[in-house]
Amino acid sequence: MTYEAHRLPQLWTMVEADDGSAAAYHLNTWERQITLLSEQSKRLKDLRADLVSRWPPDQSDASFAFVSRVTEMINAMDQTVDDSVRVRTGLKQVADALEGARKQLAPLLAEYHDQGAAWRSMTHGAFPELPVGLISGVGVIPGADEYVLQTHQRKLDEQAREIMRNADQIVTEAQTPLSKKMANYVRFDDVQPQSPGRLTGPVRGGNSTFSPPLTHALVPPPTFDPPVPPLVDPGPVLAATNPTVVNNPSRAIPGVAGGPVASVPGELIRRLPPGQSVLRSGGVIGGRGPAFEPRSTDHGPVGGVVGGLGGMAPIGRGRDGTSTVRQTSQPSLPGRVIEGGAAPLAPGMAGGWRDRQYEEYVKRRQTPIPGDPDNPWNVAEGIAPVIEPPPERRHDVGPGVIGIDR
Amino acid sequence: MSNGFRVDLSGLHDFSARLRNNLDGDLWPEGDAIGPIFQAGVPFGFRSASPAVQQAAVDYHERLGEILRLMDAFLHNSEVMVQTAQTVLTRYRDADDLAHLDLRAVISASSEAVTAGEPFVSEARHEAADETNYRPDHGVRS
Repeated sequence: MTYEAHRLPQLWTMVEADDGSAAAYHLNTWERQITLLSEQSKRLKDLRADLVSRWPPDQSDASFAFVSRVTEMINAMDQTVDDSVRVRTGLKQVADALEGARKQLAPLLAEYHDQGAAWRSMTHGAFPELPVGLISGVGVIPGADEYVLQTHQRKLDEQAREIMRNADQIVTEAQTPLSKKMANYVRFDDVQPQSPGRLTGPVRGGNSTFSPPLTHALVPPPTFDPPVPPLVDPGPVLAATNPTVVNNPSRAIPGVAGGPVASVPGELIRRLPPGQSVLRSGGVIGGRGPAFEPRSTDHGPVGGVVGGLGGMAPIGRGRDGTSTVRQTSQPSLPGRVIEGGAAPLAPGMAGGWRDRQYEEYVKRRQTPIPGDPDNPWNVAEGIAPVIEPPPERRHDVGPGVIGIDR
Repeated sequence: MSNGFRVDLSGLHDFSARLRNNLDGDLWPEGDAIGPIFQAGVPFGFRSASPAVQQAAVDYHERLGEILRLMDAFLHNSEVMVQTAQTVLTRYRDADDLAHLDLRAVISASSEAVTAGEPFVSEARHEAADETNYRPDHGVRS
């Protein structure tokens, strides 16, 4: 099994109860069983030797029959001891594999929703030679928390799957000792027709106290209740980060309005064309909550990011029933880091880095545009162009075009 | 196979008594302790989706059933052996008692027969004695 459909939380659920305590109880019981039967077999051999010396089977048919039954039981006990050792070995293999997987999954699960661990993992991935002491769990790319966490979780998911696959390998090997049947030894009653009204349980001590046969209380067959895998494997742009809630049927189908919406990795924000806004993680168009990716306005400049934030970053959290897109007359920010930039002007304004021409741009936009107010699209004529556009080519649709009468 | 008849009842008695002690001292108490643990069922893999784990659980469940049946058979058959040994002892004693009574009857019958036949035996013995009085050799034996 590849466990591709499962993520770490489901994989953890599969082995959470297999902490080895219940299996250890069985392992100890098998040990007791093995010791008991080994000792009893040895006692029976001593009893048989003593009996044979005083009641030789070669001189009595009754002795021969009796001693034969004793020998059968001794052989069955010895075989059962061997089989029990084998079954115990198989059980130990399975229990160790599951417990081992559990122990390996536990620390992964502890990191699963840890944003700091996600950033550390990401930083370590980007700078593998950086000393661990220098790796901080602080996010270095604003708005990228969700993306980094999901990337981190996908990595942990795959690690968990690998752990489970390794455990499965061991369990598969354990099937050899577990699948072999044990000794075939039955009650004397079972090889002879029973008399009507005969007691079915062994009679303890030869008195009238009956002990219920051990096999009459059936061993309950194993039932399995595996966790349901997520219906959708959330990719990097899906909203839900907790795979357990993806299963929640109360959530709408992805892609349908009102349903889960895309989260916005920082990588995507940077690639957005200017002016385009994006839905935030969990945002719903027309919903009550803030729909669009909020950006903190007090973020400082991003050091070392060439290109900066290329997209328009909607600002401010929306309120109930209101769109959070700021339909502002303020200019979109170019966001390019060129030289001599300045920090954002004030809280509430769009953040980002501005070049020094920004102030000139703002002034130019604030003054009325000179010209005919009735025809604002007229532009002043300039000098003759140096480069002329190429002549327009005639397009020939060619023969066989339906609807064109040639 | 049977070249004769030989039995030491004390050997059978010891076998029965010692097996009885084993049963009461170890087999039954341990069987009572072990049984419920195995009867509780498979102790792993309840939430697993793995076919390998589930197959292992199914296999282990079969082994639990088998070991419980085996323990049941060992206990039951050990009890049967104890009882069989006691029965054999009883039968041998009964057989000895019966043999003793039969011998007395035979002796008695034989005695009566001997008594009834004694006159004839005596007469025959006397006739034989008379014949011994005839001495052709005039009393001289060679």
